[in-house]
Amino acid sequence: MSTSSSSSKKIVLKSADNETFEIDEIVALESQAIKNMIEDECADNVIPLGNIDSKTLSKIIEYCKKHAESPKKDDNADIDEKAVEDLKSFDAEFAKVDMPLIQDILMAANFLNIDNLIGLMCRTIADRIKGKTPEEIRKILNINKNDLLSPEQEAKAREENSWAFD
Amino acid sequence: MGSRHCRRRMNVNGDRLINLPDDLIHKILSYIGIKQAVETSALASRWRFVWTSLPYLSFSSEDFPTLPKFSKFVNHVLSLRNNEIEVSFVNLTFRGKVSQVFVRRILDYAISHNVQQLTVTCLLENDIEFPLSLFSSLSLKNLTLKTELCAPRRRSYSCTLSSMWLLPALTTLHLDRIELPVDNTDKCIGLISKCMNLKNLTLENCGPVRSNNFTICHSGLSNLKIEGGRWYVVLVSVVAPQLKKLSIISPTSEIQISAAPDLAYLLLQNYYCSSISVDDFPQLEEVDVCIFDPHRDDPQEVVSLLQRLHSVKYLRLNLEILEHLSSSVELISHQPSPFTNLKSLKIYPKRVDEQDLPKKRVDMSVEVKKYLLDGSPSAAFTIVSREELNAPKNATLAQDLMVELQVLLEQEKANTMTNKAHMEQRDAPMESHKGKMHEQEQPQPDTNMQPHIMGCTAQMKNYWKDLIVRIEQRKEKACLIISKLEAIEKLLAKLPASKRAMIQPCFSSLCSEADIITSKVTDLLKMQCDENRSRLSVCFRELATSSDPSS
Repeated sequence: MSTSSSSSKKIVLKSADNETFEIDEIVALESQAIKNMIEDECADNVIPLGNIDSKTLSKIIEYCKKHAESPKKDDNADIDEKAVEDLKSFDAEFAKVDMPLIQDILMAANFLNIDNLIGLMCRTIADRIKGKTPEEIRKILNINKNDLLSPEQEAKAREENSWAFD
Repeated sequence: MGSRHCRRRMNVNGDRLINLPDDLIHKILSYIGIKQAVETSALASRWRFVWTSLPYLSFSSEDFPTLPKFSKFVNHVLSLRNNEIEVSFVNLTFRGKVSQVFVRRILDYAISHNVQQLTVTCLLENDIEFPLSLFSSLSLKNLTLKTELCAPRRRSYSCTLSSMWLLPALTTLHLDRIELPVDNTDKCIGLISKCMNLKNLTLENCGPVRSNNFTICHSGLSNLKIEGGRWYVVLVSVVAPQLKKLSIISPTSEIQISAAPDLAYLLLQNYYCSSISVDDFPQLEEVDVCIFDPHRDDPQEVVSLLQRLHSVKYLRLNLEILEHLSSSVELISHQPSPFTNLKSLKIYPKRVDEQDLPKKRVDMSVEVKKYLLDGSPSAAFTIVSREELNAPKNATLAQDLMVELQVLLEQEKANTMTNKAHMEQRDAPMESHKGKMHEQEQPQPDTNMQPHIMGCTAQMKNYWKDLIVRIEQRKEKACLIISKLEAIEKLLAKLPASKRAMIQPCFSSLCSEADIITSKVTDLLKMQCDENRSRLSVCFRELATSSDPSS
């Protein structure tokens, strides 16, 4: 039962581009990594996140806020269903961003260890590449030209797995 | 986890996934299916071999045109996959016999790679037998075995379990639409007692083989869910002394639960409550009872069920049970409340539509409420009304109707204006635009004020007809508007006050708009009456002079 413990304790996060975000501790606790830091008492007043830019970070905070506020298990199952629906549509809206941002969020969520958000971003990426040709997927994922296989390598990969391609 | 990969500063426009740890790429691949996951090997060098270490394998014969093609695919995946990497999760969906090579191949591979979670779905085209020895595993913790019927369903096929399994690590078992072998003497489901560490068991639409009753007997089971069942089963007995959580959903037979001193959670959803016999539960924390058609029960059954739940702290009941009980308050009026530990009571309706409710319905009585709450005066009490549940739907309906009404009013307004303009145009020439009058008047047939003498009386009849048609038209529109207002008013009356207050201003403004338009319409009708009068007097004069020989 987490009735949004109104402890007004604040945590400050600092992005790579030196923007600071003051958030309620309960919101920050959505991140398992930050939670561990706080529990181990190794978190200073300001937590620097040197690999997350402010655009990504504000998106992540938006997500954590919503999920921290959303009522968890309660004896009121009707409200639960409504809250679950509400959260679902929030997630769907949240994921409607461009691929680079999705990938940044995924990387950052992985760093901050926010399990639900990692799942949401992975599912979003999967949904966008599902049923697409390798050529289309390269474009969607913005795969680095330097990372492409040489024509010979690609032919080999295709041949190796030709049973999957037909 | 994976933070080491993140330390590197992300490049701004390039491919971010190149820095993503394998486990996250695996997660993405797990959502797109193994077939496409294999295809990603041609994407880029980062992706070249990622799929070969996928710890989740999901195969379905339905993704392939023929079973031999599927079998070939399975062989390739399993032989190219990195043999060093364990599989944590395997999902297999297949049609046909269990004896097909690929079934064995996948299960053997999964088990030899320390699978922890396994889901097998059989698409039945025939009756099949599933040898449980195929599942024997020291690592498996979570097993789901289910069958689905292949369309078209000419008849129902069954999947019967045979032989025995060895699953010492299994904690969660979910069986769906499976025939369970039972012991001849004690009717126990032997395969369950063989899983020593089983904690969670779900039996969905399962039935015993050649028996009309069976017993779920397990000393360590803590969470049991029984959903549905088979028509021929008369009795299901549960003997699970460690049971903490029990959910019974729409059972088709009587369910007898005995000796569960630690039971803390009970969920009961059924058509009537007489089919569940429970012993006393001294440790109940949370109970949710929903009886869909309680009026088919003897109300005494309801009372006896409530009495057996006496230790509960958090209780949810559906309103219909209590309405049914309210029809026989004499059963409880002199009884003490059974609930002395209650912290919260929530009452909610299961049947929301009026037509789903029994005709002779009694509202929940004060006595029933007292009976429930008197033993725990400090318990929190909430009741959800049908109105509240219907509110969102009714509010939308009301709003839709208001939009329709708005359109109707606009139309009527425009209609009145053009009609009025039309009439004024006809009148105007008399006063000001005399010059233009003749040019305009010619094409208008009904303003032909020189009727043929013989047609004079006919014309008068026509004028009356015309007027009545106009009045009828206006009346029809007015009735439509009124009936819409009526419907909205009815819906608003059903809404809880807060919701009503939100819609009321809009409704009020529509009413006053309807008022203005109605008076405009009345004005118009008045004008049309006046016009009728003057047209008629023209005719009368005409008629009078026509018979005058001096003219």
